[in-house]
Amino acid sequence: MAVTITTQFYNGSAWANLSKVVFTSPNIPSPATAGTRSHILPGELPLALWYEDLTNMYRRANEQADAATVIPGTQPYKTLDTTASGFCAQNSVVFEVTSGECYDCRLTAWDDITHTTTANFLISSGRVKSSAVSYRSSGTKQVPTSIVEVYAAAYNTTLSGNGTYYGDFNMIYANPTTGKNGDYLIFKPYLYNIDGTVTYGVHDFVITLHYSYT
Amino acid sequence: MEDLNIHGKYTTVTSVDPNNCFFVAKYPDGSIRRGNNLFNTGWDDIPQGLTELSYALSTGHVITFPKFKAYLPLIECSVGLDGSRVFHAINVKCLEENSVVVWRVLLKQDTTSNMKIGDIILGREPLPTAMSSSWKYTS
Repeated sequence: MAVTITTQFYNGSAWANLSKVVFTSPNIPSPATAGTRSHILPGELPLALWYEDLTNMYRRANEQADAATVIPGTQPYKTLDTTASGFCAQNSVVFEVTSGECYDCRLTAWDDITHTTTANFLISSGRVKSSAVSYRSSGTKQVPTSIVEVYAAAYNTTLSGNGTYYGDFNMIYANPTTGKNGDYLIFKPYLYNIDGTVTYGVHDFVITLHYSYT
Repeated sequence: MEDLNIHGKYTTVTSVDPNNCFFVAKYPDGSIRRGNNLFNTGWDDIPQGLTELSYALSTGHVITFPKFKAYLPLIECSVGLDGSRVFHAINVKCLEENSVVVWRVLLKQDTTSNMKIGDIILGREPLPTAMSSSWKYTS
């Protein structure tokens, strides 16, 4: 079945269409004009996590931190926790299936727009990580309740091409058949071990959702 | 021949033009149903009972599949947060009595692999536990 998937984030008052994930200084007021970047060097200061739409960028974490892991079977991501180590819908990028269904979904990272190589310092050194979970739920998009996991939550997963990733699983537009919202895939990216050993230069990479449809 | 080049830092990927790749289904009465493109394939809109399935790629490749009990073509793509989209393959699942044969038709090529656009990789899977409504049965 054909599929439509939106990519959004919560900007504090409404859902906005994501244009870019940005790692730059926390020392900038939020929201800032899209495209604002600092010139801090690796190891000098913490890097903040920002989500950017076409107009503004919004700070979602003041530093890079492992997401809090929990006792298996619990679902911490359904409670609001926007601390540096928190992981919930309101501080994540949210993929939402709004019609149809998709199969063999996989979240991973590639060097650039070719989605073909991992020849990127941050990816090849295992510094690109993410916490992710796929679910359908009652409640609202920003405060989900009564969650049914589509694919079990994974915390601090290293993303690297077809080597390590979050997936594979199937997602559907759940509402007509289950009465729940979704399916959703939420993920919060972070950079691991950013210190003075990171070489200067441009280390842009691309996080992708890989899937199949008819 | 029509294809697209995607220039990366370390490799250039050559891809089919997704706007000009489509399936062709033939029916017993001689009629033909043609698909749209890779973004909106039109597969779910065609009736059951086809007699032959083929795929035409923008590069001029035409892949005609042997007759099976049913077909389910899946478009495999990846979408980046930067808006980039790459079409990797069409995985045509072909139903047999006791298993599913998968014809993987490649839609891109690059300098890091010997595989080319239009190459086919055959695989086999067990029968699905539930049949999707998107399967199209042959007559």
